[in-house]
Amino acid sequence: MVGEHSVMPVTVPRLDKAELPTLERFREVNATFPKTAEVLAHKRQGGKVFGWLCTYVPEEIIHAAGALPVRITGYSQETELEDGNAYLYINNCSFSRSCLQMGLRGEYDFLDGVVAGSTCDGARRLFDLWHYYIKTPFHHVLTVPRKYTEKAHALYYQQVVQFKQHLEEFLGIQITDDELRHSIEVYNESRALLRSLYELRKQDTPPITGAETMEVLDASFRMPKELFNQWLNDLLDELEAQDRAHKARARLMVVGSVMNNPEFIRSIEAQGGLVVTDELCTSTRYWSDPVVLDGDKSPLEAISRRYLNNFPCARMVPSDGRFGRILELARDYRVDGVVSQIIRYCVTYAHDLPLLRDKLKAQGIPMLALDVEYGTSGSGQIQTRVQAFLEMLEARKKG
Amino acid sequence: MIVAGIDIGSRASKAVVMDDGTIISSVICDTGPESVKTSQMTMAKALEGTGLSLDDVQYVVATGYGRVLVPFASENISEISCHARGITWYFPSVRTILDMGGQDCKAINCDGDGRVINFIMNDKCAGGTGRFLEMIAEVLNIPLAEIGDAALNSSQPIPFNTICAVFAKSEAIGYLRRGVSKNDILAGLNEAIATRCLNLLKRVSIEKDFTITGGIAKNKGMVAKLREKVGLEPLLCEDPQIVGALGAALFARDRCRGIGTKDESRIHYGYSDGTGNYFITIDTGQCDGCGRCVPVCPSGIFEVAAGGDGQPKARVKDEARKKLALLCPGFYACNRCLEANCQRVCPKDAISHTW
Amino acid sequence: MTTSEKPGGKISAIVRACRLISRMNQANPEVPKSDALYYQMLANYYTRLLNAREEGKFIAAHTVFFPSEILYAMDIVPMHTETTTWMMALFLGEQAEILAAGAELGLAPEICSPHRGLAGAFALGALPRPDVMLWSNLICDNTAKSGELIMELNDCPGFFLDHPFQRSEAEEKYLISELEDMISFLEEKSGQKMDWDKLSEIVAGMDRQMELFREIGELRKAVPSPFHIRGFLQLLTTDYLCPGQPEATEYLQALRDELAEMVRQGKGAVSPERFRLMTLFVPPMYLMGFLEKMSQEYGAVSVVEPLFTRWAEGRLDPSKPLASVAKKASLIPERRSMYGPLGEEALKDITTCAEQYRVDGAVYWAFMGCRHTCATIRLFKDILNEIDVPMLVIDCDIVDPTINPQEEIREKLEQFFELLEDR
Repeated sequence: MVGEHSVMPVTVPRLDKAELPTLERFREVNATFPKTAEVLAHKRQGGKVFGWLCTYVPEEIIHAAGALPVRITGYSQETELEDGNAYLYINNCSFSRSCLQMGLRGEYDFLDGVVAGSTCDGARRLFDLWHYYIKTPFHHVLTVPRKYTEKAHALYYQQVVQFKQHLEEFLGIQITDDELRHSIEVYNESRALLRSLYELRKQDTPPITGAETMEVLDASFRMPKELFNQWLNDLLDELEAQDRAHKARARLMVVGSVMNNPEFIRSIEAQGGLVVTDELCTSTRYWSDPVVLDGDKSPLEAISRRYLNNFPCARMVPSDGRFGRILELARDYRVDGVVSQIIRYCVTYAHDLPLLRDKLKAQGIPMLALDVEYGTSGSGQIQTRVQAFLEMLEARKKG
Repeated sequence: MIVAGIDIGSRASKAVVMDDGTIISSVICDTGPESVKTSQMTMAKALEGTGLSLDDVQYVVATGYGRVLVPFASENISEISCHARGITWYFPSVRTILDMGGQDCKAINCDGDGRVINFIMNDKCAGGTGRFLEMIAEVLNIPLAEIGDAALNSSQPIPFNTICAVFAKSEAIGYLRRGVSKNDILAGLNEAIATRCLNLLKRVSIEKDFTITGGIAKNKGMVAKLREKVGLEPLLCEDPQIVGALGAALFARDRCRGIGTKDESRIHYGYSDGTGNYFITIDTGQCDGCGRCVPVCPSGIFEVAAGGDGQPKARVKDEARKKLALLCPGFYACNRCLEANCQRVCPKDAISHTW
Repeated sequence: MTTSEKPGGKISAIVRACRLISRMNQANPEVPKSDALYYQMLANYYTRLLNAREEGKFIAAHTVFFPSEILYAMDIVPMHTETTTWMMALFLGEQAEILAAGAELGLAPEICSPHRGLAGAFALGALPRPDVMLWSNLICDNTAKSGELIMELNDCPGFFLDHPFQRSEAEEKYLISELEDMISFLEEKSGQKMDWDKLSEIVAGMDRQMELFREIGELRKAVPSPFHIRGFLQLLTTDYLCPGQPEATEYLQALRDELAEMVRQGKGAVSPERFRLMTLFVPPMYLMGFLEKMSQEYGAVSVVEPLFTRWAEGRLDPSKPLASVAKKASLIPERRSMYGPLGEEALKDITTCAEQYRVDGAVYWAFMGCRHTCATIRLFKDILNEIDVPMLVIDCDIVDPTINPQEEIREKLEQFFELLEDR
């Protein structure tokens, strides 16, 4: 019998053919994360590495301080979380439990600091327990308002300034505006390159699958941005040189909470649904908006504005901001259906689900709601639902 | 034109054989531990006495949780689509289906052509499924077939706090010890399960006509309770348990008539168990039959043979399909030890493993 | 969505139940006067809500830990959504119906049950339709996310009050500006003006009540401890529903006097007192009667609830009413370890409590819907262990009795009492 709670076997990314050698390099980064060759090299040269916990942490500041920012994520597949459960209890999302367990087991022992935002209950408690039980040398949490008002921007800016000062104190350095401007450039380039990659997915037969895209995205926050940009450029060249075309039974968009396991998307795509875009905090929500440097705004102000205004997480009020952008993506990428994947106990997203379902329905876009555990590669039950959903979408198309 | 549908459920396996517009045979068998064997046995039983052999069947569609393990199936379609399709054979007016199967429960909305419009599956728990009722029947020591009537004879249903399979079992044992009548316990459980089903149905939409399919639809006590809760008279077909297999057979007939396309060109070989899915998938749309996978496999599980369209395609040998777990170490392990393996040598990227 | 129910039908049932209990309490000389006052206060609160429509009053629904002082000062009738859902569970036993309605909306079972329930109650039309919905991120993601669905269900406007996470001058300023924005919003929607004098008066009342909460807390340090477990919920509800209101002050004063008298006479809530317990988080509402019986049976008394009844030191200043309302949010007991970064002081307070109150053991009610509190279980267990106070963890749901059978809870408690006995 296919057990719902069965632990999936280790699934490694398929080794691709020589056609996309760069994808292979991204996979290598993901396979060795957190202790990737790049992270270890950076440490060997005496560099500092800071882990960040949420997309509301301004990465550019860490980068401008000459340190390497990496995103803290959990195990790449569904895993027994004994330690995570013992400390965070079983009702915090499996993402936070998975991250904490990796931390407790020393997988992140190379970190010089951990930076979080007050973004959701899971993230803030993960940070609290990290502080008490893992004791990384530097800890910082930013108050992140839930609104977009000018006052909220002012408060968040003050928080960003404080974070910068705290970091400067810890490292004994000064972060200059020029350094910040340079970091913004590097990060904006990365965002622009990812946008080019996503543009390819708008085609009728995209050259890259959703699972492959997820592999690129995973690597994007696990390695130096400069190197990532170089590789992504290479990958875009390779994609252009190749004649790849993925046909789809249905064009899908994946929405919802955090996800890092490309196998989950691969299991959807193995059934013929092609994931052409997504709204996940590990994908579009992470990279989509650039920092806009204009006129008299200081680089720090520009960063602060971008991070609070970025493609919103479900935590922000009003939710219409998030819904509007989902509908926009659905239209731009011509999706036939939306797959919502919400990690159990990710209640911010769970609360939005009934409202989002109605909004999509009004646009004639069906939604399949899946509740999953972080790291899942898709159980038998999930596969049945995905298959039925694809059959339903096909039947609709045929009218 | 002979076609067949086979539904490998978690508790029972069903097969329907059709000749154009007539059902010429239908069977229900227990699902054994090995799905492949179960599917062969079920099909053999369905063909018994028809004078037909498997070779006479032009197209087989498999459904149910074991649908990917039916070696002789031409295609597999989810049980959700098959139940919607199958029910229209009996009642084209049905818009709402409650399928109560062995290990899960589904609420489906469909249109007059049997197309799924919306569906929802219960998740995370076995409470209220066929397996659950079996367990309760065992605890109460009543044959499964009789629990429906027994519940109908209840004078005072016992209110159950939970239908969590674990808690309800201990609650039932507790009542039994205290001398509560079995009929009342069953009626109480039915009440709790029906409430849960109602909540599931409300999450799609409850429209006339309403039907119940799956094994539990044969349980009169449960049907009575559902009628009361839902407030609609369910249309009950002759054998609600074969609706999935019938839907599969109807899809098979469609395919033979050229209706609908078999977009799915990926063929899965393997099995799944409590620890996960172990499948090798060959994308026959991509495979050009070059045969490079054949010599590299340490266990020699591949061969190249003519596919459905007459073109050469790689496939897993018949004799290897049944013991794939023993023969294939999985890509992860294989790739560590061997320079060349099926996935790496395939120039078309047509072979993949789930483990 | 079904709206067969007469709006307010459930509310009038709550009112009837409260009045009945209050009358019975008054007639019974053995029941302390405070009990009657408490139920009278509840009855008044829900009567105001029940009659609000007819009297042309403006109704504002709001989530827990919301500064309803502002609503009272503006003559707006507050409807505390979580408490009202609890009341339905408590008095009417209708949790199944409202939770099912929440599930029907598509709210996942992982969502905190009172929040699933309150959306369900609105969908059923069991609560009066509010004119506005007010909600905030104090205390958790569930309160932060409840508002919009309720606005949609009631087709009403709403305001989200954004509480800063940490304590700094900038954040305090932000909260005050949020309160100002909310007042403007309410003035615009209700057409009623803020009465600043009235707010000052309410703040003064609140300041008095905070003092009373602290005095009651002090009295409970006595051996034997005079307070019964049910009282714990009553203290919470008092602040949730009637902050700064004279009837709340009257109830708290009566309670304080009764407890002082008991302490003077050396009387305890249970006799003999065998185990002094620290209660962490909240026991299931529907188990109150059962717990009280068990508490008597085993001589176990809850002496302190650090997460819910221990107010921080600090006074409110009626001459600065809005700043005081903001300040109150930083003094509420829940603010110490449930919201904001989990600081050393919050942890220290747990052990200090255990020592000051001479606690024999702690019981943590692990409510599966409350993620951020359950995440502190291990930490609290570890620090209590250091001072040799054992902690029992009981998984539960605070309103849904179908999750954990009562028998299982009884067994766990009995085993724990045995363990305490052996020590």
